[in-house]
Amino acid sequence: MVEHRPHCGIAEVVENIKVAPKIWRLTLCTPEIAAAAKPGQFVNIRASSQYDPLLRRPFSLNRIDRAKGTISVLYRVVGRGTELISLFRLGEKVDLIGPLGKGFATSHPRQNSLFVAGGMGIAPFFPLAQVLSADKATATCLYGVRCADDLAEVSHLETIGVKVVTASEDGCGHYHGKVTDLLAATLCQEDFSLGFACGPHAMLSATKDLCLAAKLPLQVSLESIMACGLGLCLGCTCPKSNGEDYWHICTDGPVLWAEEVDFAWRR
Amino acid sequence: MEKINPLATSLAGLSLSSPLVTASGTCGYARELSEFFDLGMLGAIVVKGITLAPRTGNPGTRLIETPAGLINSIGLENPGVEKFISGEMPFLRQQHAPVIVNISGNTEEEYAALATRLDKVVGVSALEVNISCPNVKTGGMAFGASTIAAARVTTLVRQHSQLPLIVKLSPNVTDIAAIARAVEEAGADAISLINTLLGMAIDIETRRPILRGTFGGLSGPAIKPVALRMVYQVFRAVKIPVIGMGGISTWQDAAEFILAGATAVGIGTASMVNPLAVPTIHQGLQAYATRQGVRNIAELRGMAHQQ
Repeated sequence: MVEHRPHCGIAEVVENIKVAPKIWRLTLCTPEIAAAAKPGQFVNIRASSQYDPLLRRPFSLNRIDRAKGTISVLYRVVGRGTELISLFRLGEKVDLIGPLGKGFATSHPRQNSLFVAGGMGIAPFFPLAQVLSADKATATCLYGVRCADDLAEVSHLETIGVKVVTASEDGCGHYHGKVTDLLAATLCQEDFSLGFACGPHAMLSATKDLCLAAKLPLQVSLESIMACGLGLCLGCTCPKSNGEDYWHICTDGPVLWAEEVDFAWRR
Repeated sequence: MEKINPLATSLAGLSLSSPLVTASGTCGYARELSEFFDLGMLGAIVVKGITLAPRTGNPGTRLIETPAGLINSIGLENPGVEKFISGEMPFLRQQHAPVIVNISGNTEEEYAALATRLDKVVGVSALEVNISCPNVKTGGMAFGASTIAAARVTTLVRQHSQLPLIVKLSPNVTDIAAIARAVEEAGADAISLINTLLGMAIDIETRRPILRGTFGGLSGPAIKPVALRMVYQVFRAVKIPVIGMGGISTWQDAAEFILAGATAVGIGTASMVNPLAVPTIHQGLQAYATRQGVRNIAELRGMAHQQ
C-alpha cells in the first residue's frame, strides 16, 4: 500500500529544458504533490492524452519545491514516451499521479552519507541531499557516467555542499574507471554511516556487495517498467533475498534496503 | 421522488448500480482504486484471480508495452483463498458494490474446492470461473480451449456452489460461440469475455523471447476490436448475459460493447493507466444514455444486431 493517498490530476508545465545533450528536466506546478513528496518517491506521467503510448512513465523526483509548489523530474530521451514528454511546452497541462512509492529512509544515523549514482541514477539525489544538508550532515556522491554528455546535476549538488566525484571509463571524470571501482577505493579511505545507490542493475549489484563487505548499510532506488505504479498490476517485481517471493517496486519500493534484494535475477 | 438511475442493470440475479465492473487482475482487491473514486459507482468488483494455494507469480520480466497495448505475464500472483477471505473480504464487504470472486485452478478438483470454500462466505456475490489465464503452466487457458473441458469445469463448479456463476472465456480459440454455448448448457449464469490475447516479444539483442514463459497476455486498446467482435458473436450464440471486456478505455468503447450485446462491461488496463477511468466512463455513459433518449442503458443492449 502507498503511504498516503496519491494525488491524480493535471499539472501545468513550468519549465522543460535540456540540461545536457540528451537529458532534460521537466518542472510541473502541482502544490499537492510538492507538499506531500519525499526524496526517493516518484511520479507517474502520461506522455499522451491518448492511449498510445499506453502506459505512464515513472520518474524519480529530482526537485521538490514546497514554497513554489513545484516538482521536477530528470529524464533522458530514450523512446516514444520520453520524446513526447520532451515536446511538452510551457503552460501545457500534464496528467500525473504522485507522490508514489516509499522514499529514502533518512531516520538512520547518516552524519556522513555516501551516494553512488550511475547515469540517470543521479536523479533522486538532489532532494535527498537537501534533507541531509538541512541537518548539517555531510554527503559524498560517486557519480559514474559513460561520457561527458551524460553529466548532469554536478554543480547543483556541489552548491548544497555535496562532494561530487565523477567516474568514467572514457576518462572524462575525476576517476578513470567504473564508479564501482571508485567506490571500492573510497570505502578503503573513508568511513560512512549510510549509503544510497541508484543506477543500472549491474552497478547496484556490485555496489551492494562492496557496501555489505564494508558493513555500510545501503538503500537502493530501483527502476522497472510499470503498468500502473499503484500496486494494481503486480508487474514491477524484483526477487527478495529470502529467495521465496517478490518485492513490488512501485509500492514496496522504489527504495529498498540492498540486503533485502536479490540482484542475481536476470530480466 | 426516487431518482432514476439510467445505468442500473441486473445480471445473473445481481442488481448492479451501473454496467461498469472491474476486469479481474487489473484492480487487485480494490483497495488501491478506492483511494481514487467511490467504488459504489461500480456495478461489481471483480477481484484478482484467486487460487487454492498462494502463488508468488512468474519470475523475470512481467510487462511489455506494445502499440496501444500491454503484454503481461504476472502468473496469477495471489495470496490464496484462505488469506483472501481473511485479509481482503472484510474490506470488500464494506464497499457498496457486489463482489465477484475470480477463481482459477490447476486441476478440476481445485476449481471444485474453491467453489465449495467460497460458497458460504459472506459478501461473495458471484463466482467468475477463469478458464482463460494464459500465464500459468497448467490449468487456466487449457480448460477454456475446448468445449468439453470448458463444460466439465462449469458443471463441476455448478455442483459445488449456489452462487451465480460467470465463466470467463479465452479469445485464443477457433470458435468462441461454440465454447460459449457449451458453458451455457453446463449451467453458467453469465459469460465474461475476453481474457487476454496470446502475444509475445523478442529481445533483438539477446535474440531470445523477453518473457520467461515465451508468451504473455495482450490487453489494452489494441485488442478492443477483437473483443468487440467476440462479444457480438457470443451475444448471438447464447441467451445468458454477457460481460464484455477487452481494451475498453472510454465511454464510447463501453457504449460499443453494450450495442454489441454486453449487459455489463469490464474496465481493466485503462484503470491501471488512469485510475479515474471508471468515473470518467460512468459520467460519459450516463450522458450518452440521456442523449440517446433512453430511460435505461439496457434499452441499447444488442441494438447493433437489429436489421
